[in-house]
Amino acid sequence: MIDSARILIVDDEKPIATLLAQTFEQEGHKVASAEDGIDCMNKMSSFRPDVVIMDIMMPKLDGVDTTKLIRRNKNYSSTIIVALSAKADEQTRQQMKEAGANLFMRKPFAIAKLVGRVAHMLESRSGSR
Amino acid sequence: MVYTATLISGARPLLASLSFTLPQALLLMAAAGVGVWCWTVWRRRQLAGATDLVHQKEVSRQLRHRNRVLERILAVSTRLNTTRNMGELRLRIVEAARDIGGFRHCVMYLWSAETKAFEARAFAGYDELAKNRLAEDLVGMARYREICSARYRYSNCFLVTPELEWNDPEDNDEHRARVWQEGQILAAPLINSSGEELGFLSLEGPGDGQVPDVVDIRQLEFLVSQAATAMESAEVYERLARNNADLQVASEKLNSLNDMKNNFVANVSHELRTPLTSISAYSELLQQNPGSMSDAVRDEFLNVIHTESQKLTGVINDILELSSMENGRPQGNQSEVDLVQLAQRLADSWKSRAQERNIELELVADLDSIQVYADGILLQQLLGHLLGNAFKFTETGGRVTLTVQETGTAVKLVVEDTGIGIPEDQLVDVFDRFYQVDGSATRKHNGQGVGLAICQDIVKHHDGRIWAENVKPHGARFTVLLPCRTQVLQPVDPTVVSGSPFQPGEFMQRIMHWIGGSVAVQTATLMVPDADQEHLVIRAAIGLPETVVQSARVRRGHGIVGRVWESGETLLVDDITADDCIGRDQNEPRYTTRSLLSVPLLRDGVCHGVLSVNNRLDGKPLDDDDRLLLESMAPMLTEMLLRYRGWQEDSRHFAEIRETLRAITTVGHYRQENIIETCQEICLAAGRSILLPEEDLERLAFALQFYDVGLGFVPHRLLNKPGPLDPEERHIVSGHVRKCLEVLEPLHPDSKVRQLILHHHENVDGSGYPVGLAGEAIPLGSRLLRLTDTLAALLCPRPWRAAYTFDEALNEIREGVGSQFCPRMTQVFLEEAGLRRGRIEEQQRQGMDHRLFKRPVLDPLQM
Repeated sequence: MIDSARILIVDDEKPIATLLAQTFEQEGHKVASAEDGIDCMNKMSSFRPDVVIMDIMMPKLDGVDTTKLIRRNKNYSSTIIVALSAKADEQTRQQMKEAGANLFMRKPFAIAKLVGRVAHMLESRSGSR
Repeated sequence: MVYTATLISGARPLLASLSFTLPQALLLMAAAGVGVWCWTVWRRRQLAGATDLVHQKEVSRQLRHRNRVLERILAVSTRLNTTRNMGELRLRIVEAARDIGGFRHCVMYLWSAETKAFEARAFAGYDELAKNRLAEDLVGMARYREICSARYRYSNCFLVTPELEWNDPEDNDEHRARVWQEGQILAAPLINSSGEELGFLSLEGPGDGQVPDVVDIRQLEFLVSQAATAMESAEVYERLARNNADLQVASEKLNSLNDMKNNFVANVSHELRTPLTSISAYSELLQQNPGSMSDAVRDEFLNVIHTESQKLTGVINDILELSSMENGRPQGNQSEVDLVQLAQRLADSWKSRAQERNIELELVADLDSIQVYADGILLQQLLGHLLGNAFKFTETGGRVTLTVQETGTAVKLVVEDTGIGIPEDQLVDVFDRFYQVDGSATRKHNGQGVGLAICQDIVKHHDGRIWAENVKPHGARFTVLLPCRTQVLQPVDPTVVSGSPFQPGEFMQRIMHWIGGSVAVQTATLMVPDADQEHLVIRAAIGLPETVVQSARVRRGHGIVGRVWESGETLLVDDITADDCIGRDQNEPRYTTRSLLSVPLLRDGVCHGVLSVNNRLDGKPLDDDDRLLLESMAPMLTEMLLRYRGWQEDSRHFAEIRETLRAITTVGHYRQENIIETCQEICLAAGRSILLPEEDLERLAFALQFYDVGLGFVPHRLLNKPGPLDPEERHIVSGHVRKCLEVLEPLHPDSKVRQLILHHHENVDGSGYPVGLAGEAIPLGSRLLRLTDTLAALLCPRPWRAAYTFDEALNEIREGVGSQFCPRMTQVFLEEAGLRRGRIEEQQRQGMDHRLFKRPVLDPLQM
């Protein structure tokens, strides 16, 4: 069993954001939500998440640019970024990878799978420390 | 003698058909002329018994005269065949007919399907008063038939005399002796190659006061037949140009449809997946925890699933509608639609929903009936979406107003609500597929924003405009302008047509056709020296396979053509195979008959090319007459060839100069080339969408390249000065416009281009420079240039300020609407700019990465 992690959910789709928050809370993690990229950037410094679940198509600042911004700050180089998007063409995947996301999952997704992947990544990160 | 006489009688039916070729006609005319003359002389000789010496002098004098006239006709008909502008062509025809026929006055009457009569359309030798009088005088079909009746027939023309005074129209001698009478006219019918009667030329007042003789009439008839052909080809050319423009528009529509479709596929999957994600995730949890979930939570989950399913259905419906619009939209479903009635019907059907939500719905129409030519079903959809949209964003107790108005040139539909409005920076985006006013505040409103995209499609389908704006204190206003079709499709300004660009390739090809037709041969080849001056290559040809045209090369002095080139002398070969002294080059274009005629194109002793013809249409060998004809055409051809070459070189120099100028102007400026290019593209796209003719777009493209070259002469200190300029400095900077025209002078830009550039700093309120024109007086293109220049300048950084973001730049431009910028052009321009937002933002990002996020909240290093 891994320790409790801090998870930031960035998604402008309310139902999904709520559901993900509930799910990760049930898993014993500390959760915060942001409804767009700018909101996310504002919460990065205050919340200091271990994992960011990042939607891509969002108003104001999209997931790709937000991810790039996060990666430009050295403090967040080890933050796990999971991209979660309904826009899942090859170009978007590539952009997201180059921006610095660790994992890309296409919407709709299986919740169990997402939870499992996140747990696995958290484990291997704490193992490598 | 007998031979000549037969020829004359043989010529009659041929001339009557009016479709003879130039050489045949010339030969026939020459023969006819000589024949008639010989016959006359022969009779005179018998009667008067003149001496041989006097006779021969007379013969040579008359021959020389005939020759001069023929040369003139040839020159005139060449000119006619290269004139494409209808008005100019008509004028040339009447002037030529008047001069060649030796008359003082000539009018061209042309059939008009509108008035069902022949109208006077071109005049030579009349003053304004007489022109006006003639223009009002319509010649009906009955009158035309009377003019062209057998009793007036004179050769193939008609000599109309108020009172018929002679009984024997066949008696040529009698005619020739006849004095021209007051009120007599000579009518020459204009009949095209398919036998259609286009109209006729009416000639009056012979210079010598005599009825012209048959030979003169034949010359006139020949010219008239050439004129009819030239008018036919000019018409075909005009039609082709029009079709071309139509095709261009169609292919652009197809292209944009394609782009839309690609975009659509990407977006649609997103729109379908988003609700599906919720449905899938919530149902997954329901499935996994059947026991541990409270009823309240389960109900909530089911509720989400239900809502999201409905959303999904909505998206699918929209998509279906959209795709039916794009694919199966039936063409030609347009008819007269009464917009007021349509609006009334829609308002009625929305009434119950309005009452339900306590929203006041008002219909305002200043007329009882407004007719437009449109697709009624699409317009109903359009209004339905706009009303639906207004209702969606209007809270209980609000108001929705639908206004239908006629504005003279268009019909205006306005849907206004008192809802949440649209963020200012997104006024353009709302028409993007799948856009919806963003943020949580609007998520409670259903629908995915396809509705407005559909609206835009419908409006564009009708060549109209749609835009959104906010109204104070709150609410949004959508305005649709639907043009009256007839006004939009009006033919372009006739002054523009005369500036139609010269198309050299086609021009050379036409000349070859003309030569082929004149000499009546299947094959005609124009060869010119290669760059190395050692070989001849084909410049233009008819009747040869493409491969030969591409590959043929003849060495100087080799083969027939090579010899002609070297010697500068015509060669007429009856039988190529029998003539041993002429070696045949392997690479020489293949000829199928044995007879070949090759003429050098000489100017100042230099041979600029060789014109060869063979394969006479009648299968006979080429003869001395063909040689004379071709040689008489040679000087004219040389002239054309040299001009053509000059044009080619000019355009090459021109391209080089253009590059240089661009390089000069780029240096020292803070310009980001790719952004500038995108701005130029926006400008041209805007020009296209206001239906500027293709020639004007070319002028605009030209002006875009050069309009700011004058800035190169403004001191850098001023260009880079932070803050406003003082009056003296302003004066220096504003001088760049005229400086630009000075710089461009060697390129001979046409007057419209000059105007475009000269006025690109004028403001619509008249406060601009250099002239201070205002409003509609500023050329459309200049107004677009003004916008382009401003947008490009804002999007690029200056030493004292960072580049504006796309939205900031657009807002800046919007602020200047009505003072600096023309509202109409701005609307179109911003619309086109909006379509390229993504690209510009990407280009700005590429261009200056460090400036990417200049807003403090976004700077990661500060966080």
